[in-house]
Amino acid sequence: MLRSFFFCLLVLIGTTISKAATVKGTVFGDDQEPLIGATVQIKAAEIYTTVGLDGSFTLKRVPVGAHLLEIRFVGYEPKELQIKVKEQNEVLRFEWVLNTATEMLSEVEISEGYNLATEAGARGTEKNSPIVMNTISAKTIESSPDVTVANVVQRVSGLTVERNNNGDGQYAIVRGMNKRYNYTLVNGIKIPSPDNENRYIPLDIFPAELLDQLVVSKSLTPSMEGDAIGGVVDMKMKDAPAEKLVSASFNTGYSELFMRGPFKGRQYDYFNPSQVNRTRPTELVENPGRIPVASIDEFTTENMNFEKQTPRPNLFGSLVLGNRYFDDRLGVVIAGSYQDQFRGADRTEFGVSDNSFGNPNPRVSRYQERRYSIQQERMGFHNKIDFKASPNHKFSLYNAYMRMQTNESRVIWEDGLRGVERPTLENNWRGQVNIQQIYNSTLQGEHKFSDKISADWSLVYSIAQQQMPDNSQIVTVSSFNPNDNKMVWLVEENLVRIWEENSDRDYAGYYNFNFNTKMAGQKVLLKYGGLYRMKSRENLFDLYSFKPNPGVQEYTPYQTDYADLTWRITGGAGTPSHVLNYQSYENVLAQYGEFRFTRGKTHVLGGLRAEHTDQGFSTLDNRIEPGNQEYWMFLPSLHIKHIPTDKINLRTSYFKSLSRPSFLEIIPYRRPATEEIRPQGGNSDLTHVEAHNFDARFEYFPSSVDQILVGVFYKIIDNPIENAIIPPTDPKFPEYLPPATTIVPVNLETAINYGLELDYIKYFNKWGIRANYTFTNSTIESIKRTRTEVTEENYDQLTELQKETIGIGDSTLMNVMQSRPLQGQSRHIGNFSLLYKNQDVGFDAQLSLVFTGERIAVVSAGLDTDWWQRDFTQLDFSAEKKIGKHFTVFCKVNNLLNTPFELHIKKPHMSDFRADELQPNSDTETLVQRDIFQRSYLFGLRYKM
Amino acid sequence: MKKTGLFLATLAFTAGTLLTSCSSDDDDNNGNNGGGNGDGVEEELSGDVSGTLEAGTYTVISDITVPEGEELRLEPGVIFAFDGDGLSPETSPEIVVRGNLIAAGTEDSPILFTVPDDRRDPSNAFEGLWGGIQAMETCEALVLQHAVVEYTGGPARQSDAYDAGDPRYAIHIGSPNTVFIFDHSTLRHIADDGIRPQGGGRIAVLNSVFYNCGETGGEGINSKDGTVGDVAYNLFYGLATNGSKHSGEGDGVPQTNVNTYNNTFVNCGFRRVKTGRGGSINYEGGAKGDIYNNLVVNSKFGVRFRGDKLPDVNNINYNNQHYYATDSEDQNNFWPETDLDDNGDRLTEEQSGDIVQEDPMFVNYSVSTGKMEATVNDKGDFKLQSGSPALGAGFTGFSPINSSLSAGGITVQIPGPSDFIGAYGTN
Repeated sequence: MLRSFFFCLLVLIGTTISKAATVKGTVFGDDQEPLIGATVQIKAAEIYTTVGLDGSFTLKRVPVGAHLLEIRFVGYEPKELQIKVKEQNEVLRFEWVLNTATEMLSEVEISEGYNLATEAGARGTEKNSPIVMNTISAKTIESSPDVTVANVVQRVSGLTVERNNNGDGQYAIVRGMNKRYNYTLVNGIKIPSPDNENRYIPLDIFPAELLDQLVVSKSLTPSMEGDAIGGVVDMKMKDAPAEKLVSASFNTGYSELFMRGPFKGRQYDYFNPSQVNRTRPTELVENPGRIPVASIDEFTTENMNFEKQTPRPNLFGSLVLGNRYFDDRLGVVIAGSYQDQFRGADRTEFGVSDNSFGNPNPRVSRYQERRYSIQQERMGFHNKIDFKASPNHKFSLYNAYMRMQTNESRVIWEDGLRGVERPTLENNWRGQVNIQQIYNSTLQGEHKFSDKISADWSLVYSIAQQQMPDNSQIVTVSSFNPNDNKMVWLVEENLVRIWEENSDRDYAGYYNFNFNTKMAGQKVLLKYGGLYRMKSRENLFDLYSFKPNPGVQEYTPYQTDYADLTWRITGGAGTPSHVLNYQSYENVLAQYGEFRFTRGKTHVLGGLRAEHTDQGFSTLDNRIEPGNQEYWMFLPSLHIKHIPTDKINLRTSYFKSLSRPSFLEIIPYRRPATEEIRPQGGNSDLTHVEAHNFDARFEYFPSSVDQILVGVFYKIIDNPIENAIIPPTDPKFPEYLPPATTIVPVNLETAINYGLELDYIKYFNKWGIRANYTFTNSTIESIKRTRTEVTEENYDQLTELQKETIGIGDSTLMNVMQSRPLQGQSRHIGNFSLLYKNQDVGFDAQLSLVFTGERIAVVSAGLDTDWWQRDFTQLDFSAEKKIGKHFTVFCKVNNLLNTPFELHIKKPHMSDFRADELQPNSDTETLVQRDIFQRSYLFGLRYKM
Repeated sequence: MKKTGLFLATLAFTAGTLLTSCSSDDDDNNGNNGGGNGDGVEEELSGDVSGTLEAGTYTVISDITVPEGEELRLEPGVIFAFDGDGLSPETSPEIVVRGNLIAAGTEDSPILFTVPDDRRDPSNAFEGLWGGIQAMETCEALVLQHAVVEYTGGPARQSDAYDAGDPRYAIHIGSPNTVFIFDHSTLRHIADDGIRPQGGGRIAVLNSVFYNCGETGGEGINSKDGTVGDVAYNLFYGLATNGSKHSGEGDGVPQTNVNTYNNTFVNCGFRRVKTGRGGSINYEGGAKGDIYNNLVVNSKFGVRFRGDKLPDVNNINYNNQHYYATDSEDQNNFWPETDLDDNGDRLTEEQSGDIVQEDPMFVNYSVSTGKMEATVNDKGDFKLQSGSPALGAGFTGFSPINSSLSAGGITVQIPGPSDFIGAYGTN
């Protein structure tokens, strides 16, 4: 498959061999921009070329003689020149500069003077920004292999992603800081999350096509919300264009996982999502005066009817319409995107316990083969209307709606790794529908009252929702018929079906005032502003329990259809008083003052932000009292940018920031232990995280599209929140936790995170390189448990109870402190993209590599038993070819190397004759999980007016 | 396509229908339980309860709690009738014990934890109509002597012990500090586990009868980390999974250390259908103790050490069990073939003092009785006839973990091992 793509690449590029003269040169604007895509032509001879990424061009096969050469570029005054070619094989060189067209010299401010969607615009944003940031333009996204915003994010230096079940990115990790330490904006406005427990936004819900630019800020100014320690992902959505815009794309594709025949793919496990009951069963029951109790009639078994299918091809489409009216005073853009994708993964998973009696190594207790078949249906619409009431008063209304429905079927084959002749097997089928929606509406105004005073404001309503109706699974287990000793499959004893819903609603108001003033003879821009946001969050959890009825129902192995299963309901009232039926609120009030001034070649931005948080909850579990946390945080920041030449920036900055606990974490709920995981719970003593962040960066922009960035950062993180065990002997042990080790979110001792970032972008005529590398190092200390022999030295660590039964020489679990990197932090991450752009034939291609070094995926309670994600290298390819004036065909291939995603424990497992034969490297490590996602292909057509 | 496996079809619901005949011992007969007799106090209970309750019927209409630091003492003849339907946590009330609960009945006047008479029918055996006795971390003493606990196991609320909707254990113990005495008592018709020292406890489970516990899974006693004590002279009959199961990895609390000796296990382990599960005596996850003189008849497994979650095998002593099974399949699993060591050999094997496949000669129970039947006519039936090979075959060279246990003013001496195998001997 790979070969055919490179073949098609070669054919498309084509080559021209010439014996005539050659005209070479560069075309720049008077603003020193390389005029990429400017046409250079000799009309009479029908010779034509376009200017490359670095501003250069080559005009070949120019016949001997005098020619009229024309250079044209939108927004610049065209140029006509007489040139003379004297002999064959002559090479003529020119350097031309085009003047900006005078009508373009409008009153636009410099910071708005870029078309954000272009690469040069993206570099301009980075260069002119007062703070440390990285940006990716729509043009880059369009020609990249990326389909969702989460794919795009991983191309930014210092960013990695956490993946979902089908291998796609989902959450951003900025500079090794867990997803909890970042927030997400749409057009600068914070949006709520559809996640049922957390604040962070799943980025795979956003189609990449709706973006103008993706901006990742790694430092905060006083005017930005203060709750990011890693960074801020801001999605600048498509804006109303300067002139009429119609663009559309349509494409289709397939995952190799489901390609049959020579590809050896498998079939897709289909269940009908429309058979899943969206309504909770007790809502269907009327039982006045008493708790409504659902009967078996309120449940369907049709959602347990799985069928093997070959999925239809993936479909993607998008449409953007935009125009300006009334002398450009009214601008409108409407954009929509639809994606329907069939994905999947084949997973090998081992059940691993971090503690085994009499052995310091983890214990492998089961082996699973998991098969995921996932349909993702994404829809995104947005609309922006801006209106210039007068030159000094502008208004805009922005509306966005994103929806993603995931229909996931999961099949598990499990071997309990015990008997050989009588294996303990289990087969589990689950069909799950998950619908996530985000809606945001923002009304904004900008007012210029005088040359010195201006103001802007935003009124925001947002809602994020998630629904997971009727999450059901059916489990069958191996059993032996005592009469004939044959293995049969019987339905497992306890089954549950769960309905979950959550919604997160924000009302917010933002306002900013700008004063241009003079202080001590120095021009200073003073800003003052603030925000108030009221968030209310509701969570619903409704679980029903069942037993098969009759208790023994026999199935054949590999059966897919369980619709004729009969049940007896054992918990028909659902779980109205479950702790997960909770309401949270969070009211944030923020005020800030900010100053900016320029002295010589130095720009200074600084100020203070104060944020008041009131976060609280109440749950329908009446055993848990409502609670809240209220506090002020004062967040100073200072950013200094020195510009020795107009191509170099030297930046240093300091900012203080915070991170708030999630909504669920501060509710003191509990979950019992399972076979492999210790009991878990919440922690109402959990407090917010505070961080001091230092940044320094050298930026060199040789041209408007090339750049070299070298940065260092250092973060001191107080009270970092990590999941850890609290043993009962810990003085911090909250009273309400049970006297056994429980995993809860806790504030650990101060952590340090520092690193180095390199970012390099260079374009040669038809080739370009984008590369970045980030080194990150973080350290945190937490308690781990390890099986230790009791000696005279450590005897005192035992509890009084333990001392009753344990003596010197016995072995027991004891505490040790272990330092480790922060969860999710890779020491090395890197990106490398090789771009080819031949504008003569309208061909673009890109090969992109992302490297994510090993990192801790799951923090375990045992010493040295954290789950590490192995080094991961993903290679993606995309290519596009222009056809005619308006059309482009393109293809995208993801995961060319079919890289497996692996989690392992860096310790050999306890020897076991079954595990030894299944584990690939028994002597050195324990494999926990291995996913194969396969390549996915996309072919499409794009239209742009 | 699905078919209902006839070979096991009877097992799930046999229990109720087979309980037909009356018996002389404390049994299922409505209104004839020695205690109560309808002439004592009649009262409704809800909320906090402490002090002493005299003989009579107390209908529990919603959860009741013995507050921390307080004591609830039940006099002989107290009947707690939990008014539950088993359909939700709210409608299957429980007794939460944060202080102490002392329920000391007498042989003639036992104490009952049951449901109102209209629901007290063996056909409701696994309905889990109420929520059980839930002793929390602060409970120091939980004593049941000459008591009966039945028809419990209703769905739970989310907590550190249960996931939402899980069947609740009949008796839950939350702390290794709790002294738990279960003596001359009966646990029957329970939806899931009978006694669950989830947080450990100092325990004595003696002279009691467990039958018909667990619909499709559930043990007689299923102890976790921090459980220390003795399980002796009990009859386990027709349990879904194991009679005496112990686990615990010494995680911050004492290592689980429980002796299982001189018990009788009949027809255990067959309602748990999954391969490798169910049996009679099960030790796993670092638990230790002495296992002697147990009589195991027609059960899925004999003494089992879980292969993928090893007990403290170096500190477990086991010998002198008496095994009998009518079925060749069960004979093959006296030492379970699904639990193997590193080399693929069985983890438990025949010991020098074991008696294998000799009829134990029960007084009034034929070993060829169908193993799905879960009724106990009279525990006296499981006494041994003179001439039984189990007589004189016991090992007496070890001591109980605790010589005695005291709680709430009640002290029980833990009887040492006998020279016979099984719970009863000839008298």
